[in-house]
Amino acid sequence: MPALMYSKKDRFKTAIIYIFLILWTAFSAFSLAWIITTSFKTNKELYAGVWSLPKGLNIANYVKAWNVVNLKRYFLNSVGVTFVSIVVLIFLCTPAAYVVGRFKFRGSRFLNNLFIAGMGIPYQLLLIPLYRLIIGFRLNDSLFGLGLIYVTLSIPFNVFLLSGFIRSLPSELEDAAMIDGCSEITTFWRIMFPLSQPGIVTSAILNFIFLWNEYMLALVFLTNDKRRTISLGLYSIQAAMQYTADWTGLFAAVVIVMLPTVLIYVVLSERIMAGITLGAVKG
Amino acid sequence: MGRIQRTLLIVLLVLLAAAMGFAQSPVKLVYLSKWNTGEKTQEIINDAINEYMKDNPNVTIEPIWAGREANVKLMAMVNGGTPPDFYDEDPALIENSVGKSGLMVDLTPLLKNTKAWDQDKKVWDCFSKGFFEPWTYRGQVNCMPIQQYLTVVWYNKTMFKTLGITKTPDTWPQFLDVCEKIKKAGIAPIGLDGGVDFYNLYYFSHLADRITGMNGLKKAIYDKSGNSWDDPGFLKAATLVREMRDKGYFIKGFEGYQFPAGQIDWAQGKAAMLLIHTYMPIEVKDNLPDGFVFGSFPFPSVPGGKGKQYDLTSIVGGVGIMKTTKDVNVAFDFMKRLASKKVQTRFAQEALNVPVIVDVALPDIFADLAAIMKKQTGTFTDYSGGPGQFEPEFAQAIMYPLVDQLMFGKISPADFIKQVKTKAVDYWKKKG
Amino acid sequence: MLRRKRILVLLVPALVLYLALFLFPAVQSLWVSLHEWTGFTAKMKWVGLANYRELLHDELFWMSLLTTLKVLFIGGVLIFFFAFLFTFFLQAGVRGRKFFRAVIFYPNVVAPIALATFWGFLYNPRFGLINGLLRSLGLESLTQTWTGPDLIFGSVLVSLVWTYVGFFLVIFSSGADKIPEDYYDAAKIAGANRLQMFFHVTIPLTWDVLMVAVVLWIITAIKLFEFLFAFSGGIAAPKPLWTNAVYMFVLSFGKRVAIFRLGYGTTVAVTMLVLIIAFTGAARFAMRRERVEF
Repeated sequence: MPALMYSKKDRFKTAIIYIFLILWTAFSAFSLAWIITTSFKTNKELYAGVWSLPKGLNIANYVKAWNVVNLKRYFLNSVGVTFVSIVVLIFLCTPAAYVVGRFKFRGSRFLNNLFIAGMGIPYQLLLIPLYRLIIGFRLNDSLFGLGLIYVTLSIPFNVFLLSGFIRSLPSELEDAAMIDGCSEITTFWRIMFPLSQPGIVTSAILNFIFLWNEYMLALVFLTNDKRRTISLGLYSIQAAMQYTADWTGLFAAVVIVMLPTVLIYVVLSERIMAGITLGAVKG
Repeated sequence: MGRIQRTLLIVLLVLLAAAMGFAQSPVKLVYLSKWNTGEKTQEIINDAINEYMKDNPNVTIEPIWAGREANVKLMAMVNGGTPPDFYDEDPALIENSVGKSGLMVDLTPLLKNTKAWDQDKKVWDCFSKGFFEPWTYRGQVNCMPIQQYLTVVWYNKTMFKTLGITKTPDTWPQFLDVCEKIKKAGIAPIGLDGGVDFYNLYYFSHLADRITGMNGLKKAIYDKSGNSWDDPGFLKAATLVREMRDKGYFIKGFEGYQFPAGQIDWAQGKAAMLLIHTYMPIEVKDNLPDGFVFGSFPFPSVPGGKGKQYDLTSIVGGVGIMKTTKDVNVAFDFMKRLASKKVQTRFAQEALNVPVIVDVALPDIFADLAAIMKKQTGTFTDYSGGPGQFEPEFAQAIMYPLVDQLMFGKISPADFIKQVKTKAVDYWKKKG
Repeated sequence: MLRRKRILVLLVPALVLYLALFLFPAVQSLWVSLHEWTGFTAKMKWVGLANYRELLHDELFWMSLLTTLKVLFIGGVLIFFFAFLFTFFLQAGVRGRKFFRAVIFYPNVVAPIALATFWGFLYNPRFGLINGLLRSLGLESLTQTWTGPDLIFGSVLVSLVWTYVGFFLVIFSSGADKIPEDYYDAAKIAGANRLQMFFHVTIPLTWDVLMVAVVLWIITAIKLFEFLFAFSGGIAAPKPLWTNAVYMFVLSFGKRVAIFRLGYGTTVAVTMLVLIIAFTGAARFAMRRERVEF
């Protein structure tokens, strides 16, 4: 939309908008600040005053969280599984979303609904049959097996989300490419795939958040300590905390786990802006 | 040597070699546990595992610290064909998952016939008399307890002294007097995390048992005709609970306290007493203001009631062995170490558990508790505050919601009893 | 209009994986709802439709169904209202929109247990910030037990809305950002103010994304679980927060309550699936229209 104009009436409305936004974000920022400052407190300080500031920057919690479980290892495992899964998902689901979202053919509606129905199935139900399958493939207790599951379970969501984005893309470029003699497949990879960038980036971010924090499947499919993911580390610390009432320790672990997700989001949201202007200008 | 003797010698040597081979054959066991890395108990068990492996080099025990969702992991492992050898969980959870499906080893003969690791008696005899009764299902012991938690009323001794309360209450009327005195001093008599449904149930269940006799509540729950609920004792218990609420003895706003807020408030001196298990001290130990001294007394008796003041309730955590284990004798050989004097002492001193065997001293923080346990009448009842342990669906669908309503002042005691009775009858009818 | 069937090749890998490792086990697991099973035995006991009959009389089920619907509708309306509002604000050329969007979105990246603890402390009747603020303003009479049985649903709904507005804001914005300036220019020339532009340009051109968002919310709301469970310190979800998803989990895997009825739990899951299919079908029908090309 065009930039805000500065007549008197507009300035008033602008002020209202800003105030509202600032109030909402201030509260959100406050909650984030609270989680972070609490992670620097000792539990005694927390018990003494929930809302007070910590007496000093007590990094003992972070040290403990990092060392109690092998967080460094878990971190690397999570990075590996999450990134590979996301890349695979992009290359698996974007083409599928293109077909399902762009073309009407016999059974396209059915397929569409099939993917949606998949989203409705709580993954907890699939735990047992999937575990049996994975054992059959001898992939239990392997990050590859876990990645395979992650990809499969994310397919419905990704196909659905991406098909929605792709559906609203302009078709002129597609038509032009076809006229030029490109095959459908080339058209897709050369034109539609790059154009879908905003949607892809959005789905990548959402995938990252979900997979990074996922622990139930990791709990079931991984055993060996060397292969555990960071979400399991957090789950472990959180559970231990509940039974030792180490709340400040919990928050330190939460912050550690949260940091990559925040960074990814902040960094990638720049990409969205860049990708969009690129897509809008081209053609 | 003649041919026959030579052959015999060779056969003998071969047999000897085989026997030696067998004795050295490696055994690998998997220990699935509900504990998390970072909990003291986990550390102690892990040390015991490592020590056992050092003493028995041909045995490898692989621990899986799955956390409180261990039952999900177990389900997957059992279904996937890779069940663990040990399952470390509460007896009720073991029973209701794999126990009643017949997948657990009956530990009774092993307990009775094996000598304890560091004591000169059989493992069974290290426990107090009748200890295993509450955890015996269908005549079987699926799970050997390794830690237990009693429920008592905790209070801050320093605060009581300041308020001039010199004697802890033994009977219900005395208890109410103490509450009134504390209330007049401007402090909430009782702290409570009202958001946790089974914490709310403790008051009713304790009163019910004090009035109708030990295990009275359990008997009523299992009475399919529902007539046990007509016993006036239950109505009286409900009325007494309600009275406490109406007199304002529970901390204001307790209905909205989300765990751990109630404990925090108690530890900070905003509430005087807390009825809860013995795992609470280790949870709050590092977060107490200076000068805090732990005190505890058993739930008071009710005059005219059949239950006694020193009827104690307890819940336990333990370990069981699955039938699919590769070597039940080796497995038990390890397991008995967890009930040994050495390990139990560590549990008591470092994890602040109440030990399960009789010859271990309790840590100072539980000084009152030791005295209480000495006066124990009878054996333990197994539900330390509610039927969540032995009839979970009943608890879930009937007891918890109705007790919540009673505690929050939404239904009258009479209505409470009526609804419990009706629903209980329906429940058992459905079960067939 | 499918010009050449070859394009289907793009669909095959995902579809194959989906069928083999998702749908097939899913059908297997739904089959369990016709049995009584603890999940720990080799054999399941066939009971036919008995589980479904039990469901009809199960008070806890109906209560959780009502709660699920409340989350879906009340939550949905509130979330979409605020998400639209903020999309509008951010589209209107507010400065620092990246910052605002990031901060509004951030609750989605934090573990639910941390958020729930924060809110639990916020709402605490004695030392919570809300009541503390009210007291300092002399409004003691307005203080409430925010997380008591009466109000906890509302309180949790507030934190739910606060979290998900950011999520949907990101989705709406991704769609809205794509709209070329020319359309707005044309509208401005035609004399539209910003509000009119929002309703006549932004919304119609993001209709597809909107529909995606609606379906996503329906599914999220019905499957919502972790967040609700975290609201008790993680020990036991308070009954007013029980949705079908929570009930299903408790029945199948029970937290510390030893109920293991995988068969009956799956029955509840089937009802969730039915709800999802029904509502998404209705939503997509209500929102259908010709694809707008630009």
